[in-house]
Formats: sequence, structure tokens, C-alpha cells
Amino acid sequence: MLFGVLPASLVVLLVVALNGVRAWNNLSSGVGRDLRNATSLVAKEIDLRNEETVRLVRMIVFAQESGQFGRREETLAMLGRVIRESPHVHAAYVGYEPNADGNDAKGAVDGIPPEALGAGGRFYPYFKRDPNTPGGIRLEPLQEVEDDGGLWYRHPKERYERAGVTDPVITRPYEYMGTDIIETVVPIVIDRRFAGVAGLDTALTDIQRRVGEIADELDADIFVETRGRFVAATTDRAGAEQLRTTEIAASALAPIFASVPSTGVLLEERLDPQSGEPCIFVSTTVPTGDWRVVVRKRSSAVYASLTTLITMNMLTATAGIAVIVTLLSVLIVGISRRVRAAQAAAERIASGDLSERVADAGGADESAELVRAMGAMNDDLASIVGSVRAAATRLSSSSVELAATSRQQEVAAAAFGGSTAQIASAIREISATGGELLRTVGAVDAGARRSAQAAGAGRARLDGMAETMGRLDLSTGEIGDRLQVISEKAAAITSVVETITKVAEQTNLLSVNAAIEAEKAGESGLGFLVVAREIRRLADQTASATTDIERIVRQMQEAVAAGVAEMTRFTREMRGGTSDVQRVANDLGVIIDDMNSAVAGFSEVERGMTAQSSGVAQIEGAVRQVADGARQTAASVSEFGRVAAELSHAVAVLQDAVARFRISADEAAAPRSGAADPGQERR
Amino acid sequence: MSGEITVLLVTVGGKRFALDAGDVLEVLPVVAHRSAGTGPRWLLGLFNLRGKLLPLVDLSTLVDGGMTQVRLGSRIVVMRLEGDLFEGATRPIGLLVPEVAGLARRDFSAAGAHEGFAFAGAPHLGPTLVDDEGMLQLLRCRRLLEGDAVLRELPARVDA
Repeated sequence: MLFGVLPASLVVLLVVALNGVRAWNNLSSGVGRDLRNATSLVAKEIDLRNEETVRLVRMIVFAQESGQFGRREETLAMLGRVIRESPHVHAAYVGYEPNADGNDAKGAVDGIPPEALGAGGRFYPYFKRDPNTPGGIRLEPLQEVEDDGGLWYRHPKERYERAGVTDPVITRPYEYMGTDIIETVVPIVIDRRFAGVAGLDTALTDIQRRVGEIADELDADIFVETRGRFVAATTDRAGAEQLRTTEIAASALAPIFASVPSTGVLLEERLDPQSGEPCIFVSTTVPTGDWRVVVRKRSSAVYASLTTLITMNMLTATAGIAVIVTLLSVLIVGISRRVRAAQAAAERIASGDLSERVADAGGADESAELVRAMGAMNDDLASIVGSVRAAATRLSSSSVELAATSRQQEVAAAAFGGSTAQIASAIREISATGGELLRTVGAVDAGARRSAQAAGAGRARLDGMAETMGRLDLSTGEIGDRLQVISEKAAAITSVVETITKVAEQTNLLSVNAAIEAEKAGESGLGFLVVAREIRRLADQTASATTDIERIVRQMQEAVAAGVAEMTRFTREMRGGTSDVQRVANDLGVIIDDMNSAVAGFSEVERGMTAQSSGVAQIEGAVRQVADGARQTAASVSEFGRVAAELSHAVAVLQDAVARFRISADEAAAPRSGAADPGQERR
Repeated sequence: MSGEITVLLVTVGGKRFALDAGDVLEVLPVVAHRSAGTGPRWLLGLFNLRGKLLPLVDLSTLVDGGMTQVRLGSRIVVMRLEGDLFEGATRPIGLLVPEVAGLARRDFSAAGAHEGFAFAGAPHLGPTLVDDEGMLQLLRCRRLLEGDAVLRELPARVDA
């Protein structure tokens, strides 16, 4: 039932959600479009109105520049006409540069009212609506204007003289006599020279009223700003804030105005800096006069209608789901009852209980057919199981008898086989032990003989060696004596050489002294000098020869001394070696005698054991034949037993399988006894 | 001095010197001497020449500044010396020489010889010549005890 209801509910919910999303998008874009259009409309109306004012001012300037300049009476008439025919114009005025038309001197004489003249007769008329007489106007002397004019005069003049710009100057709004006013001023240029200005003051009352109407329609707030001041603010009507007199920079709305685009319309949703609520802001710029318009609408106001729509959708969907669920429940209950009956029957059969019939559940659909088929299957199964169970019982008793007989035979054969095997293994052990012993004795005998022979040979060689060593000892003694003699002779040579060295030394000195004496003897000594030099040379040669002899004799002495030491050491070792050899030879003699007597004993043992070994081998052969016979018998009996056991096992498996089924209600106490009576079978 | 003279060739500190054979009285093997005690370094002491005691002077100290190491070739050359020390008289003294190489005839006034440097403090250094075995300098033996080394260290006079 769950599977019927869930998809249907999901489909309905999906449709509702999609509807909600589409409605949301439509509404959102609709609201956005409405706000954009309204904002554009406000901007357009303000633009048209500003443009009209500019056109009027330009018309006055055009008349001045086309010949009216200096004709003061005509100018006054024109200003009066403009102000009368344009209801939103609050004041119209012209200001000339001092004596720009050359008529300053005769200004008042010509009948120009003095209120239209400034200092020195300068033409400076200012027409203004008279609040006291409806539709009336009057000239008003300008108190605040001095010779250089106010800001509204100075600014266009400076702009023209600096950059040649003749665009209108639209001032910030200001309050004048209880009304918000802006001025639109254009310079008058005669012969490319700044000659004066013409301007109109327009009240903002009509703009503020119009903006208020649009804001009411939209259920939104509208703010208009120029040059850092509010022109209009619909929130002012409620008296909450007097934004009109507030500088933008000091207002909480300053960041909103910072992001107003210079062309086009911007729509953005952001938190309102005044209330903190999420709001939709739409803003644009009026081209004429560089005014900015901002429309603010609370987001909650936009979304309220949307919530209502979605709630309606949800209610409809819930009703639909309830109807579907009811219908499905009725249908499913009938089917599930019959299927449960079929399931119960199938579970009973699977557990082996065939004793109950399956009741017909009634009805004509596929589920009723299923219940009937289950009943037929139950009856057929019960009949087959009864037949199988009877056959298995008979087979089982026969196989049990067979198995018992074969087991008895097998036990007997196994007992006989075991005995013979024990005898055979015992005989084998005796035989093996005897053979091993025999081999060992033979090996010992042969080893002893070889040892005796080797020891005899060794002793003979040792005797020879001892004799040789004795002779060597004598020889080394003689060599030592002779070396000693050589050493003594060498010492004698050394002493002789020392004597010769001393003589050579003396001869050398004598020859030097003789030569000196010969020198002193002068000419007569010359011959002797030669002899003395010769003697000295011989003495030097003798000295060098004796040095050589001395060196050689010293080497000889060292060699002889080393030889004597070596000889002495050798002799000492030789004597030690000779006595060791003698002792070993004696020991070997004793060993040889012992061995010879042992060898004779071993031979007798060996003969006895050889005879024993052959007797055991004969017994072993006979026993092995008996054991082979017994093993063959046991193998065939055990093969027969294994076949009988397999048969018995197969019958048991069959019985076990059949026992799972219960074919009559009487068997309930012992369903797996395997002793079912085929006569109780029931269809 | 002109022409060849017979000189006794000696070696001191690896340098070859010549002593005028005319001044040499005798050449002796090195014999034992009695030390002079606290005298100047170059005065080794007295030695016995056939019963006559003569002062023994170390030539190495005078010429080279070192001390003679006595070896097999070392000799005592007995010479006649004169000078202020002996008040004009000629006295025999023994010179301990590290090695005597022999006698030879050399001409120190020949063209190739160098007449030597006339140092006030070393009047005994004579001219130098070159022969087959290298440079050879003549020592003026009679003035051997007039050099700075002697005068600086000698208290008054040396008496044989």
C-alpha cells in the first residue's frame, strides 16, 4: 500500500513545487518590471518638466539676443507673459551687466518702474507671483543682489567667460517664502560678450505631489535628489523625517545614492540603511538637471502575495493524495488476503508437513488460481512420499544383517594376521641384530690388525730418526767451535787496523809539519816539500783503506755471532726432540703387544656369530610366507565389509530424506522414526 | 805581497780560509787543554807543547762566531802572533782549527782576487780569490787578535 501511495504523493508534490517556482519567478520579474517602469516614468516626467523650464528660459534669451536686448519695456512685458502662462513658474527675471545696453542713465526716465532697476539704473527686473492676489504678479526689488549679482548670476557669468559654456545652470533647491524652489539660469551673449542672464524660478510643489501619487500606487517610497539635496521624499508626508531639508551626506540613504547609475535603471535588493529590512531599490538619473531618482519597496510586501499562492497549491495537493490513498487501500486488501493463504501453504509444504489440505480461498482472479494449484501439489507429494518410505524400510533391515556377518569375519582374519606379523617382525629384528654384530666384529678385527702393523712400522722409523739426530747434534757442536775461532781472529784484525790508523794519522801530521819546515827553508826545501806532499797522500790512502778493512771485519764479526747463536739454539732443540722420539717409540711397543693378543679373540667370536646368523635367516623365510597368506585373507574380508557398510549408509540416507515428510496427522509425535506403515497412507 | 805564497788551507763553518805557512810553526793533533775559566769565549785555555804552556784560541769563535766541534780532522795550529796585546812582541799561540785540508800555493795579488773589505773592526780579514774548489779568503794571522771580537771582550791584555 505504501508503494502505491508514495509515488502518487511525490508526483503531486513535484507539480506543486514546480508551480510555486514558476509563480515566484513570474511575480518577481513582474514586480521588478513594474518598479523599473514606475522609476522610468518619474524620471521622464521630471525630465520633461525641467526641459520645459529650460526651453522657456532659452526663449527669453533667444529674444534678447535677437534684438530685444536693451528694449527694457518689451523685456518686462515678455517676462510678465511667461510667468502668467506657465503655472509652475514662480518667478521670471533678467539681469544686465552694468550699462550693458547703454540705457542705465535714462533707466527711470523712460518709465521703467524703479523696482526693475539696480544700482545706477542697471536693468534688473524680477517678476514674481503675488501670493496675495491669485493670478497676479509683481516686480520685486532684489535685496540680496548687489552689483556683482548673486550666485545664480555670478555662476553662469564665470562659466561663460572661462569656457564659453551657455548651458543652463539649475541650482540646488532652496526654500523661499515657504515654497521649495530651484532656479534655471542661462547667460545672454551679445556679440560674443557676456551681457547678462535670464532665469526662471520654478516651485517644486507639483513634482513633489506627482511623486507622492506614484509612490501610493506602487506602495513604495520615492526619493529625488540633486546636488546633494532632496528634491522630494515621499516619507516626508508621514512626518517621520524631514529629508527635504537634510543634506544627502547627513542622511542614512547616502550609500543608496552613491550607487545610482548615470544612465539606465539599476534594480538591486539590499538591506535598507534606515529600517534594516530587506528592500528592493530601483534608481536612475534624470538627464536634464542631473537629478537622481530612487524608488524603495519593502521585499516583504512583494513576497506576501506569493506565500498565499503556495498555500493554496499545497491544500489542493493534500486533498488529492487523500483520495488516492483511500482507493488503493480497498484494492490491495483483497489481493493480499489470498496471497497470504498461498504463502502459508507453501511454507507448510517446505517444512515437510503434507497432512493438511489447502482450503479454497474463493474468488476468480490470479491470486485465487494460485491457492488452488498449491492444494493439488500438496496431495500429490503426500502419495509419493508414502511409497518411498515403505521400500526403504525393507532394504534397511537386509543391509544390517549383511554388515554384521562381514564384521565377524573381518575380526577373525585381522587377529590371525596380527599374530603372524608380530612373529615376523621379532625374527627380523634378531636377524638384523646378528648381522650388524657380525659386521662390527669383522671391522674391529681388521682395524686392530692394521693398527698393529702401522705401529710396528712407526717404531722402526722412530728408532732410525733418533740415531740421525744424535749425529746431527755432534756436527752442530763442531761448527759452533769453529765459528768461535773465526770470531777471535777477527778481533785480532781489528786491533791491528787500529794501530795502522794511528800510524797513518801521525804520518799525515808529520808530512804537514815537514812541508811547513820545507817552506821555511826556502829554495833548498822545495825538493823536500814534494816528498812531504807524497808522504801525506800515502798516509791519507792508508787511512781510507784501514777504514774499509775495519768495516768489513765488523760485518764479519756480526755474521759469525749470529751463526753461533743460531747453532746453539738448534742444538738445544735437537736434544729435546731426540728424547721425545725415544719415549714415543717405547709407548708404541707396548701398544703393539696388546693389539696382537686382542686380534686372536676377535676371530673366535666372528666364527660363532656367522653360524647363528644363517639359522635365523631360514626361520624368517618360513614365517614371511605364513604372514602373506593371512594378509591376503584379511584384505578380501575387509573389502566385503566396506561394501556392506556403504549399502547400509545409502539406505539410512534415503530413510532420513523420506522421514522429513509427515503424511498423516497421527505421526505428529514422531515424524522422523522411519517406521511408517504404508497402509496408513492417505489421499 | 806579490806572487805565490804557501798557505795552510783550513775550513771553518763550511768556508775555506788560508793561513800564511810562513807564520805557522807547527801543526799538532788536538791535545787536552786546561780551561781558562771565566775568560773571553774565544780563549779556550792553556795547553802543553813539549813542556811549554801556550794559550789556546778557538778560530771558529773569531772567524765564524761559533764553537769548534772537535773531530778527527781537527788540529791545533801553532802560530806566531804579534800586536798591541803582546806589547809589540811576537808570541806563539795555539789556534784550534775545525779542519786542516792541507798545504797549497796561491797568489792573492793576482788579477782575479778581491782585496777584501777594510773594516775597522776586522783587520784580520784579507783578500779573497777563487780556485777549483770555490772561494778562499786569506786570514792575516798576525792581526787575528786585533779585531772587535777580541777587543770587546778582553780586559787588559793576554799574557802567555
